[in-house]
Amino acid sequence: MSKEISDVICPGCGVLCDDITVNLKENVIVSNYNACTKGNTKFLDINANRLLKPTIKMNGTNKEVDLDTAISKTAEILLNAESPFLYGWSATTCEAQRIGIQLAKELKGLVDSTSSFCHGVSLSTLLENSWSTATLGEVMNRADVILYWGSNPIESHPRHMSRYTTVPRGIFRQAGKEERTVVVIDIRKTRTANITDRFLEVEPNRDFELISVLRSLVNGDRPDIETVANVTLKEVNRLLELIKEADFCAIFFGLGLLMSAGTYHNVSNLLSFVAELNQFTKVVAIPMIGHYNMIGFNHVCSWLTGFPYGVDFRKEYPMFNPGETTTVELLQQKEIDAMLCVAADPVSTLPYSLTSYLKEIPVITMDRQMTPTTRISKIVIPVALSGIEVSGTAYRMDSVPLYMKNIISPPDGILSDEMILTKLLELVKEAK
Amino acid sequence: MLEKLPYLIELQCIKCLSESSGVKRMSEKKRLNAMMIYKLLPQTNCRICGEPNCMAFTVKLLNRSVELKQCTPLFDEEQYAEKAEKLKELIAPLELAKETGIILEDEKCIGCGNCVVCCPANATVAPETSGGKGIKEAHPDIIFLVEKGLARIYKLERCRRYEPPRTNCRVCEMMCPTKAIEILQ
Ligand code: SF4
Ligand code: SF4
Ligand code: SF4
Ligand code: SF4
Repeated sequence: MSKEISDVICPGCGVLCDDITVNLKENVIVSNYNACTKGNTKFLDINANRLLKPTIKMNGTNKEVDLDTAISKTAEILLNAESPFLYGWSATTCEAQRIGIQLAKELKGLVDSTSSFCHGVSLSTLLENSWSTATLGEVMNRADVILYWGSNPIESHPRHMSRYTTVPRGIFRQAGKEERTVVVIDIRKTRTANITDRFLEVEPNRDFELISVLRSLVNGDRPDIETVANVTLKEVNRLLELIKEADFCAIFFGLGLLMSAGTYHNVSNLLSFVAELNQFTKVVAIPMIGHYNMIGFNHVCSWLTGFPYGVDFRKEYPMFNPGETTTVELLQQKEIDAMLCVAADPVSTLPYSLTSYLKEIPVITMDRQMTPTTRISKIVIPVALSGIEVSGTAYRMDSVPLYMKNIISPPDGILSDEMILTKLLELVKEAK
Repeated sequence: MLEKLPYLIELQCIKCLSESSGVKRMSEKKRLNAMMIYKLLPQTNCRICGEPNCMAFTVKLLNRSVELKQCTPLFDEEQYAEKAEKLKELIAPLELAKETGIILEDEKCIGCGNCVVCCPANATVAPETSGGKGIKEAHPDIIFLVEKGLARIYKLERCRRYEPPRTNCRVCEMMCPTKAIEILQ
């Protein structure tokens, strides 16, 4: 029996495209319309390297166990640990994230998401800045100047330009691309720059200087220089004029800005620049969030604990100190003695100098497929894929929450992150 | 006279549109032009092909309204053998192209949907595409559609290069970030 479901949300990246049409045949996705190549693999390769049975590593070999055994063993390890660490969260639903944070609190442990070395840091600059922002829909309907800074959406968020920023016609932008000027600032000419109107090549690691010069120009100074970060002052002035004369300018900043020298100071500087520009015209800044629900964790964690990520419950009240309670430092200082990893693959994303420590402590991984992290884990619990096999809420990159449907059912006996975490939470509460 | 103008523009198109947009296109590969073909023809203006002269035949060849084999002297006479081979090789991409000269390469496409959204003919069939949204189901008259992560061409007859009045539209080519779309001629 074949079936067509429309308006499905793609969990491929932070754009969370909500217009995918999926064709099903007997609970198997056979094709889809509108998803990009990246999103298409999410839908069609759902069973690649799929994990189907929970396993526990004993004497170096993985032994299949039933789900209840795996969960109770996990609870035991986490309860016996001094500093259990609950990590991951960027690729699961807000409902699961909520239970995860409650679990960390019950365990008097630590919880952090992948955003602590990614765009979460941009969020924490919120603490020192005001942030002028907008939804992607507003950008589509109003923006006439689009600026991508340190971001290459064509590779990372393929439909970002066609769905919201560059090509589509909006209510006040009836001519679509004709009415918009798109600028890319990056360290090399990317494929995104192939189709934009302007491209500024900035010297690597010198974004901060460029932003600072832009800020001084906005404030009426005349810096006595000819070039900054390899960009001529004339070009910088041209860019500034373009933004000042715009009706609505949207600036999208990516990891290129965040990962170059200065890290979050770059973002902080950019947000100040955006705030200053608002005395001339409407200018907004939006982070190019990678994982589909990375920013969702920051929201959930903020409303549960008051802090966006990296929360330490060991003192029975939430404590947040980036550089102390965040993933990289916890691994560096070998402060944790057990780790529950949900919807993340730290072994392939973090440097070996940090992850080598994971071999010394018990690691429990909840994942849908085999990854380098499941290979080093003591316990592996297979889960259903959020957004396709499980319904739930996710936040788009502009912090708009969207409700994802479950379009197919998971393989027999496989539960969602939320259900497994709920069982864990119950066991932990009972043990106390 | 005026209705005929788009034809004229098309034939004498100097690609001002793609160059003036500030986007450098097709720089790596030389675009097939009339002179390249003309040089390899017999240039005798013998009219065997049914055209008034070799240049007219060249233009029609580029338009894909005649076939190379209609120029029989090129294949019958020994002296042109080498040129005939070269010419066959040169116009091979034309055979790949659909009626309007559009080539879409799967290997390069990343399914970004820029072509779906920017194509003005797509917008007349499925207005939601011009607002960035994908279509709900495969519309029988749509030109571009992203299916299984790759752009597909369905009804190219709707292309503005094809339907009268033929305009030199190449928006899809300009907006494709990976150069998966190429419009010949
Ligand atoms: S842009 Fe992102 S959300 Fe949209 S279809 Fe592609 S991977 Fe999925
Ligand atoms: S048949 Fe060949 S040589 Fe003769 S006019 Fe046509 S193109 Fe020229
Ligand atoms: S040439 Fe113009 S009308 Fe034809 S497919 Fe491309 S964008 Fe559409
Ligand atoms: S614009 Fe190019 S890369 Fe994007 S979907 Fe169309 S053909 Fe593919």
